Amino acid sequence: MKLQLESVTRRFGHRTVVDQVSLDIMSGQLVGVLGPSGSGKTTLLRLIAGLETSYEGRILFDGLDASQLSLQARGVGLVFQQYALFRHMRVFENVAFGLRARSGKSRLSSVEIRRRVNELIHLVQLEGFEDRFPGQLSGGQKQRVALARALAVEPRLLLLDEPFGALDAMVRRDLRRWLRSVHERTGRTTIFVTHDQEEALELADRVIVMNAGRVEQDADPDRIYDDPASSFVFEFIGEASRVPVQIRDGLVWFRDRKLISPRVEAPDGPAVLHLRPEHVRRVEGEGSIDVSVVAGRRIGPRRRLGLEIRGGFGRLEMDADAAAPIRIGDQFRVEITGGRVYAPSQLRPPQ
Amino acid sequence: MNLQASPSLRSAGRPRRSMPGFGLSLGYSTVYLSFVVLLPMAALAASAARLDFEGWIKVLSDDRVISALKLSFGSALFAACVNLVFGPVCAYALVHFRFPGRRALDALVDIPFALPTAVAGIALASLYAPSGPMGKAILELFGVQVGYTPLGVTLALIFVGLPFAVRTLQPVLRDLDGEAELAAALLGADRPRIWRRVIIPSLAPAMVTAFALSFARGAGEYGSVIFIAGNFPRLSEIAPLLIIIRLEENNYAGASAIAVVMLLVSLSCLVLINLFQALIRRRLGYA
Repeated sequence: MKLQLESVTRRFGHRTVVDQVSLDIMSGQLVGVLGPSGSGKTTLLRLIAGLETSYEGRILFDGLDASQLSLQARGVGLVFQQYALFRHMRVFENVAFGLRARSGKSRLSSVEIRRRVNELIHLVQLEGFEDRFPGQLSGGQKQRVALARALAVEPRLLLLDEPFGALDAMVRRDLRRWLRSVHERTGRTTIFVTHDQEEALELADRVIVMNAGRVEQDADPDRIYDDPASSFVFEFIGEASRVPVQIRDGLVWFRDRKLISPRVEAPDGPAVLHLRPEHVRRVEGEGSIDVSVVAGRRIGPRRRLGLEIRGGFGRLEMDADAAAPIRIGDQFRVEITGGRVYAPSQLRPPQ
Repeated sequence: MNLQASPSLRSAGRPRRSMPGFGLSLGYSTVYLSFVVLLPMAALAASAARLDFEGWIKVLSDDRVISALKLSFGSALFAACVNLVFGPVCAYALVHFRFPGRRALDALVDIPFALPTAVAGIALASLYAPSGPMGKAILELFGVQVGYTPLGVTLALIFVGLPFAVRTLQPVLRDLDGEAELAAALLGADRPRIWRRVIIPSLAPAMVTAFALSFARGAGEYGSVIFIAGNFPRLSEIAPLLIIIRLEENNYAGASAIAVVMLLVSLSCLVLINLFQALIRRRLGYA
């Protein structure tokens, strides 16, 4: 299903929670809405689902104004953050609920319902749990029941609110991979909301980064990571350090040394250079910045070093081999190989 | 004996409870319940035991006694059923919506609790008696007399039972997952279906409790009923009143006999309700 939002705005009293959001989501896309808590992403999802009914702007489902559609008629499957399973029904009945609620011609025979439910239970890998009550399931299992229940009615649009928020790291990873494969098999237009950038980048075809009710960037995961549209996206999406610099004729200067070579689109004067750990490299001899090591922590196969710029100009981070003989207190020089300077209009206060 | 082993032996024989005060609280509860509940029950049984078999037959075959018992339990049952409909509706309105006067309405629910039952009884009687404003209107419009009939008795019992139903259901409804209702709607269920399949099953255990409380209160209710009942023997005379009448006739054994029958009926009703409660809890997966 094709979903369009045209300057959708939702206010709670004087607070604007969703601010002029316009989106076109094509059929079959898997879209991640990413943002910190309070950025309006859950409200956006509830607006699309129809749980919030007062808003400005238009929401169109295949070109039809969705405000005319009742919850029942929307054809939206929603997986709630807390799953909202029917506690007094067994897993089987939870999944069958939507099929049994049908009336008239679309009503299925009980044999057909049984077949469909068993199919879904197989899809979410919960065979043998059909007769359990939700209270007897783990978080990850409840999550999968909620998904099966939502998929049972073959929704035109599948929405997931922080689908893996309450689960531990390993279950999250497994479910993420599994959700991806379910999406590939069903091809259903899917939107999920998350505050976890890793989840969004790994799972989605397209990531919409939200901040303070607005869309900061709407792009594929590579663009989001490699070319963040604003300082907010840069800092939210991964590890970031900031270095105070001077811009002169489009060149970036740190004190009396020129930093990165490509010219930047920023007015002359003081600015902030945003860096990721991979943009910092240790050099022997002539380097741009003198640093001393103040911290080190292990991240996977690498060690992330906290570096203080000598002279009190702030801190940097860089990655080094875990085996490299570097101690706290060591001093050396680094050069900057990348990073971004944002024009004032692209600067957002850090969270 | 190895002294060093003794502490572990002791703790193995008598595991320590993590919650303190078990002996004290259980002991206190037992003594208290004995004095307040068991002892009076025993006295009642002893008093009724003075009646021989023929005496029992005589009391129990008296159609005035039978109709009084029927009226008390029948109207209590009916009133409890009515409260089982209006209680949830009232609780639903109070829990889910914010409207002006909500707190006032909330407080109003407690009035039957707080009001001396005789005051409530007189108020009901003066309103619904055939000469009272409501009683007269209903008589003229529908040809039904409320005051001084079993209908009046039932009305009074609905009145005293309502707070039990509302107050039992309110916290359960508040804790009820509002998102489950929305989820049901998104899955295509219409309102009646959501009530039938989602809301009511979640409420079922609490509804049984509400029913039991309302019924138990109604069966034994005295003060608020006797004014509106009119107390015509074999028509609108409730069992508790008949007990008083027997006492005033100095027929203590007769009074005790009716009381024992009431006790037994109430007790078996409560046992049945509790069994039913356990059954639905198991069926709905609460256990």
